[in-house]
Amino acid sequence: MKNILEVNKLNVYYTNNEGLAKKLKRKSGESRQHVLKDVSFDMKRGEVLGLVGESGCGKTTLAKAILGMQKQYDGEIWLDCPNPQMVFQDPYASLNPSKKIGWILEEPLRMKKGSDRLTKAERAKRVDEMLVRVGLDGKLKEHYPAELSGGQRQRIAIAEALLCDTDFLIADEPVSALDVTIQAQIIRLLLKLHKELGISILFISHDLRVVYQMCDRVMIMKNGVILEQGNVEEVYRNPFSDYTKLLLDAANL
Amino acid sequence: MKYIGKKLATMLITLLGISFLVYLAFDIIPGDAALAALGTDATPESLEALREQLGLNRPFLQRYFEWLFNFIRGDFGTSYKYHIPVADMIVSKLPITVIMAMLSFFIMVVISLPIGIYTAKHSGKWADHLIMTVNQVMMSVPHFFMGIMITYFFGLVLRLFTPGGFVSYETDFRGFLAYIIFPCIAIAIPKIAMSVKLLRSSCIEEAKKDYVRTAYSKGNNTNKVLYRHVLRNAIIPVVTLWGMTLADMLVGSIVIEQVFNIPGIGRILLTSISYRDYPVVETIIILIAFVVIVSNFCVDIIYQLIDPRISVQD
Repeated sequence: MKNILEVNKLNVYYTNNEGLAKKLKRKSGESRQHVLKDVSFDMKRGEVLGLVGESGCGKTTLAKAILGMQKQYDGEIWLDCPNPQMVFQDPYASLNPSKKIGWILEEPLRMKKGSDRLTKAERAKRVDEMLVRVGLDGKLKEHYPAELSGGQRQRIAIAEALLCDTDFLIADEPVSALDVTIQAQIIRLLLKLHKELGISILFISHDLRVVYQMCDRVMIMKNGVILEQGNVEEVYRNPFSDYTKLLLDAANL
Repeated sequence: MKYIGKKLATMLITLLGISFLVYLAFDIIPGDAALAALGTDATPESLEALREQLGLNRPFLQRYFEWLFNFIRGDFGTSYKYHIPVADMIVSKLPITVIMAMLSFFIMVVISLPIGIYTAKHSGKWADHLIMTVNQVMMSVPHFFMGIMITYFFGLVLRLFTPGGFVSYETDFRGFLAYIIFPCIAIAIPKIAMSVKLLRSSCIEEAKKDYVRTAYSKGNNTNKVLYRHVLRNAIIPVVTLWGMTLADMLVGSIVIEQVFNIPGIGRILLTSISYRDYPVVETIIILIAFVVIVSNFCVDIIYQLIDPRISVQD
């Protein structure tokens, strides 16, 4: 199977934005933070890869770097997908509050130009199909995001990503803000879409149980370093690092 | 519709409350129509007789309601000093002050929007730093001082208008506008500075949200993200500020009228206060309150148009 993503010796630094006075005082001027340290991994096409780590360990920075939102880094990132998409943790910030759901979902379709151009009816049809696919009522098109529940919004966010015709999705803690029953529904939805469409998902989470349900392989990250990676079953049964053991103990797995 | 009805009801109740408080305040303050008519050296007996004749000895509430009904009918009472109906004194001056406030408001919106958007878009660059520094200075200069500077610069140096050469809107509307545009700029400048600062920070804050990243990943360029996604949400707090400044501008124009020698409501208000001409002061206070409340009502309606969340919570 071909790789969709290869990351090789990725290093990211954050420069602290200090005032001029402080900069002048310090002679060397060295005040940057090493956020990602020599991160290397591959991801196969059609795979669900888990990324586990505590908050602040660099998970989101890695996601940003892959999407091209983190411009300054050392190392190599090779992604075989022209339009990677992302689903965010907070469903209340991920949809524009002043637009109706229908408008939001149609936006990527309106972007299509030239021979790919869709008529209004075709766009509406695609949106309706996608709403059915993510398990929502077509009537929601006429509503504003504020009228939807957290779970519904997360489904909309997923639908939005899929309407961009992507085959690579980063899900950054997509269920952490939802309650447990809704979490299970969203996980099932993501798995169903993965099976039906064959999209590759980089699934970021701090919840080992959710990762176990979702992923084929898992990476454990701490302080910007990937401590271990491998098949979920193997890592959970035979943790190599003490930190992984600690996490598994805490999760009672 | 229900929302508008509710707002209308609140508006009427507020106006009623204000009229009551104003009437009560001027009832408590020493000095009344009888004293004003006869002067301070009148005998207590003659004062008492005149009060009886004018009905000033009746219970407070009775007098309040009578005054209120007259007020609603357009009879604002008679000036203590000039002995002419208050309405006649005010009606021809009111348009001057209101047009000045409206023009200032218009200048503020038209100028602050593009500058705010520009600085937000180029935040951190040198142009942004420069504009924001000038902005900070403009924000801290009081408008009457700005008025003096404008009189000096545009009036005496550039000779774009004749300081003190006010033309009434009744004789020459164009000349009137050409004169009041300068005081209006003086009123607008500090408010422009505030709006620019708020709009800039609001845009920058809004641009950090996840939906903006999604908008980029859908293939929008910076301008499309800004105008289609960010601006609509970022402008909501700015509209709130604008609603509040409308009241400020009305009061601002009262002060600035003195600097530019404009015979508007401001001059009548100041002379009436110094002569204790209470019916005039009362009427002007209530008219200002009325304009402020109506403008807030308009802001609430505009709010609902630009922010769908408000009608949802209603």
